[in-house]
Amino acid sequence: MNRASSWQLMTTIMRRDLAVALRRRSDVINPLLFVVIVVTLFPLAVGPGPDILGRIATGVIWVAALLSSLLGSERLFRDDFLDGNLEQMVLSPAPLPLLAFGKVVVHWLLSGLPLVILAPVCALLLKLPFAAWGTLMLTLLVGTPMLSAMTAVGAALTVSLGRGGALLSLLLLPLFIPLLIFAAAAVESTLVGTSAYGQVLLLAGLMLLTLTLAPLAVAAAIRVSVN
Amino acid sequence: MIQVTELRKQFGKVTALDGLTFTAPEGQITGLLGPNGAGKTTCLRTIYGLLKADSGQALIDGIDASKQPLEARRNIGIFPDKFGLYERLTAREQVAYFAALHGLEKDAGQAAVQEALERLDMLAIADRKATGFSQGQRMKVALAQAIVHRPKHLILDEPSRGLDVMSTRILRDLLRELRSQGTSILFSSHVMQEVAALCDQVVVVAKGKVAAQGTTDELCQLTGESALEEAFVKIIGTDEGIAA
Repeated sequence: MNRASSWQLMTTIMRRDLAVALRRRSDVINPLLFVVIVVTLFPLAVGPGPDILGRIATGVIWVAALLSSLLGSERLFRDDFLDGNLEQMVLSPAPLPLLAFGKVVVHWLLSGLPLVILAPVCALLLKLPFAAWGTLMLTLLVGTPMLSAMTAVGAALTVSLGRGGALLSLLLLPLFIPLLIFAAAAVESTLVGTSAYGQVLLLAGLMLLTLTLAPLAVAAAIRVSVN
Repeated sequence: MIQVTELRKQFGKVTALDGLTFTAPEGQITGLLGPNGAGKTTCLRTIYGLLKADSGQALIDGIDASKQPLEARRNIGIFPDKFGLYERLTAREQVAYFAALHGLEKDAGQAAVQEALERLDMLAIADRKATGFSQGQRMKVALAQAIVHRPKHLILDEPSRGLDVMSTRILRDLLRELRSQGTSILFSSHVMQEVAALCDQVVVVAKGKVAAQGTTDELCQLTGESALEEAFVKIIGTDEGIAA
């Protein structure tokens, strides 16, 4: 029997996860729809003054992104845990952190990436000055992988608790706060005409750190949950 | 060869395994027979490395699954007590996923999947999504997943639950065929006929210990009974009291 390379294993689990997720479209579309709804409701509630909307735009988009990522987070491992798939994942002849990384990547492809693509529409709806669109998309591009990775850690930790939903949110929100602060600061600097380089680099650094450590944490958490 | 030595495992105050020792040699079918809660599943879970034993060790060809899980899992096929199917994938896709995890992709993978599906007589349901599969059909998918990479060892946790007569016969033939190819097969069960019909060696487990061990005939001789069921009751009874 030949040995599969790590890359093969990664693509195998990613293909499977994508196939599963894409056959259940509502799960993919719901969080995105949530973001769009929040963003369209804000101008109605706050009033159409361009200066107010433009100033709160980044915050609104980012908060909506954070909350939408919490929305489906509980289900990331729940179904797999209940029907025994998680156990089979632990038993599969592949390193568990690698499988976890594959899951995080698929989660990002289906939740984070569409958000990045959707960002200009949201920016337009909230009258964010055009100059800041690039920075907003950039912060989402480096920030959303972190959301996916941290959500996966939280979901893996709480999967064996019956109703882990509230606990999961409590666990994750503090971790999201630095992300929110730096992302908002980056767009703010662009708006006042200074460089957002520092904040974006810092976010990118945090993203790399999270993506490196999260799979290990997810794997450890799953092992505990299954035992 | 699967070798279990002095395995102990405690869950809180409950002793699940209490110094369990036996071997499952190559080219033989070994049956773990025991009443509910005897520690069969715990034992199998420890062997394939899902649980860590408090003491003792379980070796698969000399490899400890709790220390080198990937090496150990490369050579074993597992049919766990709890398994899930993705409702939105077809039977073929689920089996192909396991084949790919074992490095069988493209043509080799397709051939292996096709062979496993044919062997279990499930081509008719191969391209249907798992939603609406009966218990028996789900079991077959899980079995196909376990054998698709032609493992050297096969560990099955109550493989015939939910199977109809025809499927049970297919399963028996399959296990016999794999045995003739040199696979060591270890399965747990509490169905006497199944064990009597299949096993070269029966390990009777009660309260985490080996209560008796030998061929069906040996167990019958040991207890002076003519049927395995009576022998089993007597073995369990002498050691544990009938209440067990």
